[in-house]
Amino acid sequence: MSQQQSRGLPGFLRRTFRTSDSNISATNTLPDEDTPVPSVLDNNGGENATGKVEAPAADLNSEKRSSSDSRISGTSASASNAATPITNRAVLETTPTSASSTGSRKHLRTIAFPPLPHEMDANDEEGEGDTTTNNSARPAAAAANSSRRLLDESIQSTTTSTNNNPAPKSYKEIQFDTILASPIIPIRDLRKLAWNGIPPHHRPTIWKILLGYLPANTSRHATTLVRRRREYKDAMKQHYDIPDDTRTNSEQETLRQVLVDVPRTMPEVPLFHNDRVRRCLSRLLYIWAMRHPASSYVQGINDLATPLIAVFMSGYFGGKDCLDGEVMGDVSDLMLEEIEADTYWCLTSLLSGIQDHYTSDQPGMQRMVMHLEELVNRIDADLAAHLKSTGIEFIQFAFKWMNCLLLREFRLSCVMRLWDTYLSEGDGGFEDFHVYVCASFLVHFSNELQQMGFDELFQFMQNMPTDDWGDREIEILLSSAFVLSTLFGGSEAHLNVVRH
Amino acid sequence: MSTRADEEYDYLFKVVLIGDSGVGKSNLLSRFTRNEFNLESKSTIGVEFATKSIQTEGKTIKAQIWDTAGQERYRAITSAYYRGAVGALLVYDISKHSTFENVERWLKELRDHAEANIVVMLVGNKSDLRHLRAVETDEAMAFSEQHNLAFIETSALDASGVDTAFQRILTEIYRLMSRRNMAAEEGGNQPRLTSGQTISLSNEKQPRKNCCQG
Ligand SMILES: Nc1nc2c(ncn2[C@@H]2O[C@H](COP(=O)(O)OP(=O)(O)O)[C@@H](O)[C@H]2O)c(=O)[nH]1
Ligand SMILES: [Mg+2]
Repeated sequence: MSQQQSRGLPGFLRRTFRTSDSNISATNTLPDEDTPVPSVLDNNGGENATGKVEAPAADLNSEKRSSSDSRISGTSASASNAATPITNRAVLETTPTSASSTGSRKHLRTIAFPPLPHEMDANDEEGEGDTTTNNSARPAAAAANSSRRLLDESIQSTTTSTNNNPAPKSYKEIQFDTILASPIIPIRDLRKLAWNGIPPHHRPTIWKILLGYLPANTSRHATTLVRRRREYKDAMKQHYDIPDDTRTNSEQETLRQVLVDVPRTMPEVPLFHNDRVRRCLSRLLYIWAMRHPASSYVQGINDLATPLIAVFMSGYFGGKDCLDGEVMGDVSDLMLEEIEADTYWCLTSLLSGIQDHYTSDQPGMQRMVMHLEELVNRIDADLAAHLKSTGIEFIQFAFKWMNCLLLREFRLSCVMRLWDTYLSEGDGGFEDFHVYVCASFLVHFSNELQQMGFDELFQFMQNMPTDDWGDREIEILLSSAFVLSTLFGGSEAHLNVVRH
Repeated sequence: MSTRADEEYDYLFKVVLIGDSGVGKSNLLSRFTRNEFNLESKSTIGVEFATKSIQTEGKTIKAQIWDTAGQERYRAITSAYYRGAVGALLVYDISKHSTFENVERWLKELRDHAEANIVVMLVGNKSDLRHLRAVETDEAMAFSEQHNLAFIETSALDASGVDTAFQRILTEIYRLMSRRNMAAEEGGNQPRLTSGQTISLSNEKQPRKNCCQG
């Protein structure tokens, strides 16, 4: 690839590219069109109503690219104007929105807009219920015939983004407000926007939507919540509120394991020291295990519930960070019940996409570790060779990264930012895209790692030095992962690489 | 790769920690290698290790101690975990009888995955929890004699028995090996260690004479 094109990339990637296959050009493989894969949320014993939405093809790459660049140059992406005509909707910005509370959602819902084209599409396909988790925020494959055009556009947008003309700070927020105010939420637009981070006060609702827990049709939100929370209560009666001596041995063993793990979940976050929160966590993990016997409870799943709990709790406090646990005095039992039920369903949805990570022998985990190793071989041959020479195996350090989705590597607030993007990626977020993130993460430390022998390496990677990481570092990681995924992404993308 | 002087050693032994989750394996490891104890340590995911060198019978032995999750699910990493281990600390919690009952299962796991002549020590941890004791010392002692295991009680919390446990298993491994080596020398052309056992498992550091090839 040419010098010029690599200039906008984070430093460590730039270095990496020199050692990568020079036949592959980043720009040529920029994805072009959304190719929605009609897949449905796994239907676990009827736990998830399913529906699908076929999103219209749209060109979002130039935007994505420019916003990646903007993270580095510090300017905001204005190219998204093209994809989301919001001018007539910007009026909404004056409407106070707190999308996290159902009340104000109702209020917003009454404001009618002529639907945008993609909204109509979404409307057409809106299935019985809940879900629209299928459309990736960014396309999976590149169509060769238009990659030239994309190339031009991406160069253009790169130049404009360096044109220091920062939009007002609330610009992004207005976009979120607008999208969330639609009677039928345009999921694909939402993903595009959310890919670059969700403002904390919108996060609870948007995560629920992206996880398919809340339907795109906002008029159904309130009833959906009522129904799902009631269903969870029923599950609780069936599985949890029963005498211990009616549990089988293996059920008792599962309960024991959950109870061993809950007190050592996120010990560095005071919120999870709270007994009421711990009871919620124990219950929902145990009930999830009972309802998913193929995997049952696996250590690490406890970690995965923590961002959900923290985010959903923040929804009751205008997006306020609840991690210090100080809000607990103001959290009523009813709120906590709702948070618990919502967390249960959202965890169920999240895990249904990566189910074979936790079944016997964890095939999904092994597949991801192999993919990671392949990737590192291609993007940083020196590092790969060094790791090999020390005798370290990828499974030895990357297992935890896969099993806990990097929750052990980053502080919880960083994980929230990371998950904004994973959720926006659609089905592959917690699997495919995650592997690219892991690769970027590893390669980020390439120089240091190459100075280390086996012992040092292993211990370094047991405890990666990310204490001073914040959203910015996570975003750099995400943008380089995005570039990697367009370079080396899925089998389809390979086939569509155009070589010049 | 550089090897500092204080990392020089005569032997490198890989020792694994096994036992039910929550019995205190990770804390035994941190107590021994860093003199740290943490009441709210996270569950172990995947494999971890730490090292510490000790002296025994005039030799420096570097112990590479591996720790993993107690849950059965993690088969994906099991074989690499046991590969090359010359010692195992099989830990139970003296305040939870079920963790002692599962010791048999862990012994089977060792038979299935570890080298036949691995040195095993039964460790009854959390001996500080006197008022909650559910496994009597005599019971565990009898069990260990019956299965030909070394036995000790420890507390990662108050540190009692921890150094002794590691010191004893490492010394025993060392003695066993020197005996084997002598036998091997007398027996002629046999390899230095029997049954394909490697002592240095990480491919990284060999005993000091050839430590700097990397
Ligand atoms: N009282 C007491 N608690 C301990 C001791 N060792 C570990 N623990 C506690 O037991 C729990 C599990 O310990 P951990 O080392 O994580 O167990 P592992 O799952 O076997 O690695 C933690 O809360 C520890 O603080 C001990 O010797 N005494
Ligand atoms: Mg542990």
